[in-house]
Amino acid sequence: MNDRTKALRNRVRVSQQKFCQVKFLTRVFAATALLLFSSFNFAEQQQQSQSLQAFIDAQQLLKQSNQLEEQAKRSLLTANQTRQLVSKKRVEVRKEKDKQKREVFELQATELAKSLETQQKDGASQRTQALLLKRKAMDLFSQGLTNEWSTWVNNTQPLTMDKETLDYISHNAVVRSVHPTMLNKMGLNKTGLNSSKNETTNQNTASKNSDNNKEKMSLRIASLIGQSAPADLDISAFQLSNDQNYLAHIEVHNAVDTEQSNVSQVPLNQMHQWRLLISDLHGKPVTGKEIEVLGHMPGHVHGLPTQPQVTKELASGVYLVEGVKFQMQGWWVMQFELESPTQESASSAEEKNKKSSFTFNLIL
Amino acid sequence: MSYFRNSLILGTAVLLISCGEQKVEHDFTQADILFLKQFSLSSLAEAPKSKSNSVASDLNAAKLGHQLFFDKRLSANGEVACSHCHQPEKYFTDGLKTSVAIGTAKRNAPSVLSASWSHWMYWDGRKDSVWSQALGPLEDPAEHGFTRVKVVKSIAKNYGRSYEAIFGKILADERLMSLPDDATPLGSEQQKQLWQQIDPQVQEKVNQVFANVGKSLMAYQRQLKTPLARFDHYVDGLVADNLTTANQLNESELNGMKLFLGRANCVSCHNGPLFTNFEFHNIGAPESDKNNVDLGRYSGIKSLVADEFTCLSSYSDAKPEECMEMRFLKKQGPELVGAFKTPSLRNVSKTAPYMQTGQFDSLEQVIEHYDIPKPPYYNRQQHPNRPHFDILALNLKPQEKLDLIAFLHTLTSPIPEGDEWWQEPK
Repeated sequence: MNDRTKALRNRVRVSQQKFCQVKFLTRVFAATALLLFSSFNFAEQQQQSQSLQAFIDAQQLLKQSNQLEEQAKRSLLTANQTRQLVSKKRVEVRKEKDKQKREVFELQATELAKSLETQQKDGASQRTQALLLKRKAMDLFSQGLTNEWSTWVNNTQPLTMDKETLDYISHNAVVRSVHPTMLNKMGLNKTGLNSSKNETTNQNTASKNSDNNKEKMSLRIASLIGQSAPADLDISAFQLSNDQNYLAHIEVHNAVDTEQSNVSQVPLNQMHQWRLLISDLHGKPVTGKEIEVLGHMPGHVHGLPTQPQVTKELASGVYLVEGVKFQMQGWWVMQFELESPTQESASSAEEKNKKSSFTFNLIL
Repeated sequence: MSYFRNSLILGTAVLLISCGEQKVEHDFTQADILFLKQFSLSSLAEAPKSKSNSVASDLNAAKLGHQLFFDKRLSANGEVACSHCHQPEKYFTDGLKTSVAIGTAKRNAPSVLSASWSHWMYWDGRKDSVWSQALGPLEDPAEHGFTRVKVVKSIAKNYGRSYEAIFGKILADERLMSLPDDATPLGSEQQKQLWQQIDPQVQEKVNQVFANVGKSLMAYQRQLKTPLARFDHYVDGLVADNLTTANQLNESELNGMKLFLGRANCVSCHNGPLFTNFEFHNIGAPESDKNNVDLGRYSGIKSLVADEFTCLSSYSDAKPEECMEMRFLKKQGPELVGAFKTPSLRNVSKTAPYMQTGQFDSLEQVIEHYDIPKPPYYNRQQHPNRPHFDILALNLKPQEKLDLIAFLHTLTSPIPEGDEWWQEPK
């Protein structure tokens, strides 16, 4: 708890200092500007500096989050070592025949067990805090990107499937495309679909008693049954690259001649385009990257029905992804791997492994 | 307005009752009815525009295609037309396990009735348009056993005027007549040699005419309309709130429908008004030839990439950037191995046998397979990877199996007696 308060205080202090500096600078700058150009857009300038500040704050938070995560790792590692010591001590206790010595060992073991508990708790709370800070950082990054790239970022929501489609396709696929090894891990019992589990999970479906001829027609079977997507799955349309060097954002790109303007809804079984925005952690566009697009359904062990490609850069850091198609609802994972041209020619495997990638989880 | 409508409904009801048709109760919700509406043929949109075939909707091209579809002269023995394996009275199938023409084909002949809505042709999707598909059988030694040069000569001789009215001049007569009949780039070594001896510009011209033959055949197939089946009348009745004894389904059929759309999950792949998603899946249908396994979509992709008449080819009317399916074609993935295109279930009760090589003789056998499916055959030497398996056991009760079959029978449309497109041209 102390760490957390400290971190937050630090952050407030840092941002206050920065804010004061920026405020002062902005004033000086604004005054000069007002003198020079009567029509100068002060508000825009301020907004820009605010979004720049968001990136600076976000980076700070990310750094703290990483430090906390490191601490968490260390705590948990220590805890593991302690656990081994506890087990060792307990073996000693069991083997020791001398009563006095045994009592001493027992006391030591209890002490160790206590510190193990503390270490584990520390690790866990540090990890939770790290995650919280990372989320806050991502919120700030998203805000920054949304402000800075207002021409291109129209969607701040996770992507979903087109509502009209959902209405009548929601019955679709309790489970399909299942690898033989997944048969019993898909929320279904061995005997297949006619399971009581199905009935209880499926709250939207009316009575499923097949003997009852009067059963309601309703076909709204929750599409994610058995796909075991984690409840806290991060489905944000803004993501940090695995190496924390870049930020990315996805949204549906509609061609000029289509009337559809929704940027968060993807159509079913229809080829469409996405925009992928990539910036560095300061909100500056990352240009000229070669990007590989990968996608799969974790619950169904199969990939996309097409091979989407990044076909052009619409503006600096704004990449057009063409050929995206989802043939069913459910949990999809889309990955973008960045390869700068120089990196591609890198010969060592190590260099190749270093490539940055983004992972977006979608619940369609 | 509402008074008017009510009295109209009342009037209709009275009229119907007086004709012996009584309004029937049902327990579907409005959402269910909207959902069911998606499966009625009345909801079927026009076939998607064909960018690669500029005459796809041309009536003259369709008329020419109609003639060609039934023309036996376009075969090595003068006895095989497209209609040989795609017989209108059998819903454009032939009722055989694997088609028999000049030789015996490798797979079962699918109906052409839903082809215009699909991105991919053949069981393995090795063609990306109906026009390109139509060229395959003409040069297949087991089917028409013809060559493209012979096709072009036959067109010039028998359809010169109607062809040229649509597509322009074929080739100067003397130039055309000098071409060796047997030349084709797809045939035997000798045939390939003959083809290579032809001037590339003439080769291109021959290919263009050949492609246009396919485009006419496609224009014809787009004219084929399927009349409404009992299922469609039932759903349309629900939608119009006019369900009567005349258009209702019986209890078994309805139970089958509920199973189909619900617990049995058939609709997972067999969806939309044509009861197919036109995608590729491996349902583990028994392997017909274990010494020479059928890799399905996996080999289909290889043929497609090498094909000379795709949307991306110079014989297509589309700009390359318009060929979306080919540009973003999925070329690899373990799920391609042994996967076949989901067939339409329209008229399924009349198009036995089933599966890519007619492995199942009856719908009973098909349902048995889905009920307790065996995983796909796997042979390490022949398969590039273990085939993906797309279905799960259903464990249906005997009555439920019967219900499903009863429902499938409601998808049979009547043969449209008065429709000229369904008949041999005069």
